[in-house]
Amino acid sequence: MPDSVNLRTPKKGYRLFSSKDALVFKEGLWHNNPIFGMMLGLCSTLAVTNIMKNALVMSASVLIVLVVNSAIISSIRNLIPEKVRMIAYMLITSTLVITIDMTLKIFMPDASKAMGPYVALIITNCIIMGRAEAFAARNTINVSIVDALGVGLGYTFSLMTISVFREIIGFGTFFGFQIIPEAIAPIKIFTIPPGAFFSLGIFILIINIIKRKGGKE
Amino acid sequence: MKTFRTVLFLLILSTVCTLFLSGGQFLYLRLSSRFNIELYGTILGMFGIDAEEEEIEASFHKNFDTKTVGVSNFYICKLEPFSGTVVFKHDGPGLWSNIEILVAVKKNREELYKLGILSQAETPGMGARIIEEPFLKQFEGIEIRPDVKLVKFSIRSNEVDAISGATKTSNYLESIINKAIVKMDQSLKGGN
Repeated sequence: MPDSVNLRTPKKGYRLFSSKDALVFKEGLWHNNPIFGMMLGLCSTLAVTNIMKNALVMSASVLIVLVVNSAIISSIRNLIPEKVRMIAYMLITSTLVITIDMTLKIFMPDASKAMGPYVALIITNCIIMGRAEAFAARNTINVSIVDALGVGLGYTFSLMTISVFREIIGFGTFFGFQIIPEAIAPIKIFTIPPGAFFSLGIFILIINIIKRKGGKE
Repeated sequence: MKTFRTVLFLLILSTVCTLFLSGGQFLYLRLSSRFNIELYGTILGMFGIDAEEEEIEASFHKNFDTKTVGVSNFYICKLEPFSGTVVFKHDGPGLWSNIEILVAVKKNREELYKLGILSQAETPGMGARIIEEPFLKQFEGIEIRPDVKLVKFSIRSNEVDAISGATKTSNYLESIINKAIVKMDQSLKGGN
């Protein structure tokens, strides 16, 4: 039996940042990458990736919520009654998201306005609920945080990859700086929702080809 | 016993979350008042002052005094010939949405200088016409005592024409304006 199968269900009792933690981290970043692997949280991905700055703010928000949420849930996992666990997760997540939303509104009003409702919609992002239910509820705090970091950075990686592609092709800019001369007309379709679907599809194709090649070796 | 434990857990968790968020909301209201360039721009526009985006804040503080009562801010104009005019924000429920208005009351506190709508999401083409210039122009200089009325045919000096086909929105707007005036009276009682 290959090693990776055992790693999908990490056992209890990990030490802080042991070598297996690194594997849990890598698992979230690559095999269980929320966008390209698990295909979770696609709605916000499609919506905010047309400009790199928004994608960065969005992924930072998701990363923070994910890590804090996983830490809180795994630390009180023995207290949460089985029947109401979903409600409990929801309460904690929404508290965190509202806090993040208010923080963004104050310190980054432009980005907050550009992202519209998608920051508040992190509450319903399946990645957060998924990690809480599938991982944080059954593991110690340390390993849950490592897992949340892995998945969160995986999300950041995916969002940044898509947004770099969309911004360069759609606007001809990189983080707001013009890199493609204005004489060359950008392909505007990549800035609107249909373009988001195209780019997501292209990246999933590329990632799957890489994964398949890796598997054969 | 198990049910009791569940209920207790949820009660404690929701209390903690609610308290945390109330604290957050309190801080948010405190901090957000410092970041209202857009509002300042709109107010300056009401008084016919043009300013570049970077200069809005400086220009605003040059021309207006800010008086904070509770959580609401009142901006008092220092610029002639409008000096003494009080501008403030108020909001309340409309038909579909929260309507946020900007009220400017003349120094004598008897007449309205201008009315502005900051945000609304009423029925497009009907209630949403409250943001149109001809409608808002009617409010200039109307009397606010005993109260402002939105009616079918305005005759008296405290009445304006409501919007046909948007009775509900007009009624809500009327009540928001009157509540705003009551808020101003209570907050600025005695002072200046």
